[in-house]
Amino acid sequence: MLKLTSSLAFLLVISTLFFGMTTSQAHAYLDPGTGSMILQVILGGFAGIALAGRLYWHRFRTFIGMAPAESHVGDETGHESSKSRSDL
Amino acid sequence: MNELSGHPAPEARVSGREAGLRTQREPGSFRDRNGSVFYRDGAIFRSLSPEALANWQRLRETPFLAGRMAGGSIVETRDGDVAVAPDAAGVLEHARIPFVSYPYEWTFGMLQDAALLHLDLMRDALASDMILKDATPYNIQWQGVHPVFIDIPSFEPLGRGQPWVGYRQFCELFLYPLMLQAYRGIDFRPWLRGRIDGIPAEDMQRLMSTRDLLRPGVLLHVAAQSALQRRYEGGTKDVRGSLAEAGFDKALIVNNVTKLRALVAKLTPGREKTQWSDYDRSHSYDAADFEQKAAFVRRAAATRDWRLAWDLGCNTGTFSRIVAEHAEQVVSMDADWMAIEHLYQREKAGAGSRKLLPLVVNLADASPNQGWRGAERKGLAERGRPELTLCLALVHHVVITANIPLADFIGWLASLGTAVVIEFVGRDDEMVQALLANREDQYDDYHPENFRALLAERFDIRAEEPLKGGRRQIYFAEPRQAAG
Repeated sequence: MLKLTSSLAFLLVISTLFFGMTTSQAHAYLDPGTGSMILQVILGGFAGIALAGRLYWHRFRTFIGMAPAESHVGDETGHESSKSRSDL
Repeated sequence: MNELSGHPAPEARVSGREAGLRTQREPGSFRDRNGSVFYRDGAIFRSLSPEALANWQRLRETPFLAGRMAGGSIVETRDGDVAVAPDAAGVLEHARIPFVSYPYEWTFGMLQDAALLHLDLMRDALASDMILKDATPYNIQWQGVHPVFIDIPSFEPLGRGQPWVGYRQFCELFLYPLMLQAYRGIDFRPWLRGRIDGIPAEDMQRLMSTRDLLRPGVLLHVAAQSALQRRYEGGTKDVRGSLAEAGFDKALIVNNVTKLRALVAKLTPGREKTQWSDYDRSHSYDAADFEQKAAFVRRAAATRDWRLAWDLGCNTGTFSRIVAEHAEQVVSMDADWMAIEHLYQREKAGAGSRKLLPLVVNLADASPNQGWRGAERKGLAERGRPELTLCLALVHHVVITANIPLADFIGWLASLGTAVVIEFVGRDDEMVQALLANREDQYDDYHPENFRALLAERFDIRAEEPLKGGRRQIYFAEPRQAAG
C-alpha cells in the first residue's frame, strides 16, 4: 500500500511538470504518445526521480530569475529539431 | 511490421535489372518506410533505405547479434545481392519462416514468451546504445515453439535523451492482452484480431475493476498511462525535447524494461479447465483402439515426406507428433486455447521441436484477410497450403456443433489440394450422441455412406479402417488432380 501511495504521489507531482512547452516534431514512424512519454519518467525508478528533481529545480530557478526563461536543445543525432522552450 | 512468408500473395512488382524474374512485395510490410520485405525466386529479401543500411552496419558490430542469430532468436540474415533491388541503398536476405502466424492465434504462453524476447532484445540493444524503434508482436514469428524476431530494421541507434518510443505500443499489443487474460480471465485473442493496433490504454482502464488497480502494473501502466494520455491528447507540447533537455537517458528505459520483464514473467493465464485440455486422459478410446488409430495415422504419414502438414482439431498434439516424424513442418490447430497451451508448454519443456507450431484456431471462424486493403494480415490458407491434413475426431464438431454442411467441409479440404487422414464419427458414437442430446437433428447429410461418397467424389481413397468396433471409420485419401 505504501508503494501504491508513493506511486500516486509521484504521478501527481510529475503531471504538473509539463505546462507551457513549445512545439517541435518527434522523429518516429510510430506515435510514442505524449502521456506515455511522460509516464516513462515515473517508470524510470530512481533515475526518474532525479530527472523530475532536475525539472523542478530548473523551473524554480527560472521563477526566481536565476535561469534564462528560454533555452535551446539540440540533439546530437539529429533526431530532434532545435527548438526553444521555457518554464518546464 | 513485417512478415517472412515463403508463400507470398501476388502483389506489385518492384524494379529489378534482370528481366523476366518476378519480384513480389510483401503487402503487410509497409509501415516503416526504411525497410520493406519482398520475395524473389523463392528467397526473402528486404530493401533498405540509406538510414536503415547505416543502422544494419552498426547492428552487425554489436556483441549480441551473432549469438542471437546462432541461437535462433533473431532471424538469420545476411547481406543480399543489391541487384535484386537497384533502387535501395542496401538489401538483406532473410532465412524463411516455415509458417507465418499472428498473435491472435497464439496462446497466452506464446504471447508472454514473445513479450519476454522483445524485452530481452531491448536490453541487448540498450547495452549497445541501440533500441528497438517499435514493439509489436507481429515482428515475432515462430520456428516450432521457438520465438524468432524478424524485423532487423527495427534496431536503430538510441538518440541522446530519446525515450522508448515503442513503450505505448508494447503496452497495447503485449502487456494489456496478457493482463486481460491474467487479471480478468478474458480471452485476449478476439481483442487483438479485432484491432490491429491492440488495446488502447483508455479501453484497458475501463476493462479493469477498482480492485484490479492493486494488481501489479495496473496503476502505472494502465491507469496512469490512460490519464496522462487523456490529459495531453492533441497537445502540441514538445515533451520529447523537454525530456531530453532535462537529462532523460537510457538508465530510465533500462529500469522500465527490467521491471516490465519481471511483471510479464509473473503473469499466469488462470487455471480454468477447458473442454479438451485433458484430452490425453479423457478421450473416448480404450488403449487398443487408440493404438490402432495411431498406427493408421503413422502408416499414412510414412507414405512420403510432407513439406507442410496441418492437424485440425489437434487437441494436445498426440497425432501431430506422429506426423512430424515425416513432415518438415506441422501446424497444430485447435479452438481450445488451453489444449494448445498444454501442447506449447509440453513441447517447450521437452525437446523443443522446431517442426511443430501450435495455434489457437477455430475452423468455423478462422483468421481472415484483414488490415490495410485486406492484405496486411492473411487468412490461414493463404499463408501456406498443407500437403497433408489430419481431421481426427473433428467432422462431427464441424457438421453438428458448427452447422457446416458436410459437402462444404469436404469441398473446402479438396480446394486446399491436400491429402487427408480423416475420421468419420458415427451417430452411435457417444460423442455424437452427446452433441445431439439437446439440439434438433437437422443433419440429414451426416451418415457414413454419404460421407464416403462425398470423400470419394473429391479424393482418391487409399486406405480405410473401422475403429471403435465400427462406430468410427478412418480414411487416408489423396487429392484428385482435377480437384480444387
